[in-house]
Order: sequence, then structure tokens, then C-alpha cells
Amino acid sequence: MTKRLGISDLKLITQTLKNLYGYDYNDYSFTFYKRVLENLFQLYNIYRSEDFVYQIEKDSNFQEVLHEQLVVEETEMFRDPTMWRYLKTSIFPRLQKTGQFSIWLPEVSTGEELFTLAITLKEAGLLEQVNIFATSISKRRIEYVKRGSYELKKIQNNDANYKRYRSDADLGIFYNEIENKGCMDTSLLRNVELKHISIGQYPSFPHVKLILYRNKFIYMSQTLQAKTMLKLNESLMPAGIFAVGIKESIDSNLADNKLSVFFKEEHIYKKS
Amino acid sequence: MAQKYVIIGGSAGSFQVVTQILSALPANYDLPIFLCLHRLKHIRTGFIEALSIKSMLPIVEPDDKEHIRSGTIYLAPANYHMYIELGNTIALSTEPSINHSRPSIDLSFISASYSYKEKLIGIILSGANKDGAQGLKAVKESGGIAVVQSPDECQVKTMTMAAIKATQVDHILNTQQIIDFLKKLN
Repeated sequence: MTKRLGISDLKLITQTLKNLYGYDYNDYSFTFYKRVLENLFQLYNIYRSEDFVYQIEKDSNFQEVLHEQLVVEETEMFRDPTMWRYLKTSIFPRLQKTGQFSIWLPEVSTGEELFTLAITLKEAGLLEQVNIFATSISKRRIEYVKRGSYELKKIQNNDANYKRYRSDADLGIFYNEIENKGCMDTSLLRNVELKHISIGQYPSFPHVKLILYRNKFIYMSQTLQAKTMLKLNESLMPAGIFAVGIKESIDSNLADNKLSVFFKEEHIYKKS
Repeated sequence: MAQKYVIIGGSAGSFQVVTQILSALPANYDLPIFLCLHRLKHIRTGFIEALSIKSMLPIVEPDDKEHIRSGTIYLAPANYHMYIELGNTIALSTEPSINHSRPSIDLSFISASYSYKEKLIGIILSGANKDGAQGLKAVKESGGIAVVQSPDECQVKTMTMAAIKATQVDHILNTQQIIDFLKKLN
């Protein structure tokens, strides 16, 4: 049975993590953070918080295990097909007019979104010209993305989404079925720089004119959202585009974000 | 009386029951109601419009961090889990499906029971899998009231039977009785 953590358990664990790693994980959104820890109790077969603290302190790999859980699996390729269509037909041509551009996907997880982006760029004839930076706080997630191998059940869902995105083609040209897995054409990632970053650290990338940060803010408290927004925004060039998930919005009160709504339906913002 | 909260779970097959319940509630109904219904993941629009036709109360598919207001119905958006957080806000999540479901009834119920304890009324309606059983159990264990639609009335009994098996429910009610029960809470 899953352990249900109380406030005192969470305080104890959070303080232990802060002492060890110097980072306050309390800034993740409450239920999500609690659930991640409860899942780890189950993973380690632990029932008492004191034992969990002992596990954290003795296990040199614990932070990676935690980070892998904090970077939530992407659900599918071409999630919200209309957004991807809009990127291809409206955003890419707009950015292309301004010369060289790069795209940043922070907190890449299982890679479905990265492959979706690469396919969309390829179809727009831009894959060779655009640099993509994909970063993650989890080393395991990065290795997973590099393999580009997905359960066939997921691939079927991706196929269906791709048809919703464009009915005149087939996702099948981008993957092969090998031993019950759908193996993506990893040459799609040729211009992708996959980079592990420390939590709370945001590198600066050149020429970033598009940041895709979809369904990431939902896992953060408003405090962490504001901090993250500020960091990401530093890399985004003027007139750059910032896309969030369709149930997320960028609060105009967020510290000096300089972003305004560009396309409301798909929650796409533009930097001034 | 202290503010109470209602959370309802069911699958797409319970759509008619949900419509009946919502249409019977008066415009001055004060309790926030959370609806977690299994639905097609890729259909973003239409569901809320269909539910709204007969409801006198506003129905919203909340954005993340949305503040919970009285007399409002919150429908879990397609392809997101919906959490009810301490501090009366909604949090959404794209974590993996549970019981093949996103939104997961269990996750919504468990988070609401954590936030509202004895102030929560959980109701499980007709459905085709066991999602919701652990959620209703959490409602009961946190001191809330556990209600299940009478399986005799359900076209598919799996969800209601699983809930009854998982916990000592307070009431097994047919649709009309659920409506009367909810009205009395106002």
C-alpha cells in the first residue's frame, strides 16, 4: 500500500534534501511533490520517513532518482496537434525571416516533444538550419531520449495524433518497429544538443528565438514559476516566442517577464 | 455550517447521470463541485458545452493554479490529472495514466481528501473500470462522506462495485436520492 505522507514527513524530507543538495524542493507544487516522494517510498519499499531519510543520506545516486521522477514523462508525440500545426505554418516562417535561430526545450523528459519538434522542422525544411538545445536535470532521461525507443502502444497513440496534425502523411516514415518497440529515426536529432544541467541552473544559449515549455509550470509553485520564467527569459531574444501548455498561462504579474499574448488559443506568448 | 465540497467520479457512461444531477441543482447552490470523468484524451472542446446546456451553475475546465470559488463546477480537463490543493486551488498534471485513465478519479479524490478531510463528500457513479475505489477509500479514511450510485441503476457496475468493495461506504443511492442528498447539503 502506498504510504501517505503528512506535513511533518514532508518537512523532514525536504529539510534533509536541502541540507544535502542545497536546493529547496518545497518549491515544486504540493500534491505533485508529495506524490513523487510517495512513489519513491514505494520504489524503495520504505514505510517510515526516518528510513527514507537514511536512504537519502546513504544513497549517492538518490538525487538522480529524485530528478528522474521530477521530470515528468511526456505523454505523447504531437500532443495538441493544432499547436504543432500553428508552429509549422505561422511561427517557423516568422522566425526564419529574422535570420539564424535556435530553439530551447528545457526539462526534456522522454523525448516525445523533442522528436515532434524535429519532425515539424524537417517538414518545414528547417531541420538542418536550426539548432535545438534540449536540457534536463535528469541524466537518465537524457540517455532515454538519445535511444529514441518507445513502447508500441505509445507509438500507436502518436500515429493517431500525427494524423490529427496532418491527415495527408504517416508518422511511420520516422520510425522502425524493432523487437516490439518503435525506434525513432535518431538522425532527426542531428542538430540537437542534449545537455544535463544542475537543478536551478540555467545556461545561456545563443540565438534562442523559441522556447517550448509546455506542461512544466504546472509542477511548480508560483514562486518557482517566477524564478524559472526570469531565467528562461534571459536567453530568449527580443521578439522571441514562448509556448506553454494549453492549461498554463503566464501571469502578467510574473517578475518583469516582458511577454505578451501572441496566439491565445494555443497559449503562445511573444517577448517585446 | 462549515463549507463543504463535493467530488464526483465516473466514466463517459455516467454522462447522463451527471447531467441529471447538475440540472437539478439550483442557481444558488453554494458548494464547489469537482467532476472527474473519464473522457477522450484528444478532444479538447465540446464536453463542457454539452454539460453546461442544462446546468444553472457555471462549469469550468480549470487552468492550473485556478482559485476555487463557491457555486462553481470544476471539470477535469482532457488528458490532465486534476489535483485539489491545500489553499483552495487546482493543480493539473500530465503524469502517466492510472488505471488507463488521465484524468484519474483516484488521484483527484485522494488530493481532495487530503485538502478537505471531513468537509468532503465523494460520489462514485457508473463506470467501466476500478478507478475511483482507492479515491473513495481515501475520502472515507480522512473523515469525509463516501457515496456510491446504486449499482442496480448502473449500466456498467464495475466502478461502483469496486468502490463498495474497497471501503465502508456511507450511502448507496439512486440518481434522485443523490440529487436530494446534494440539495440538503446546501
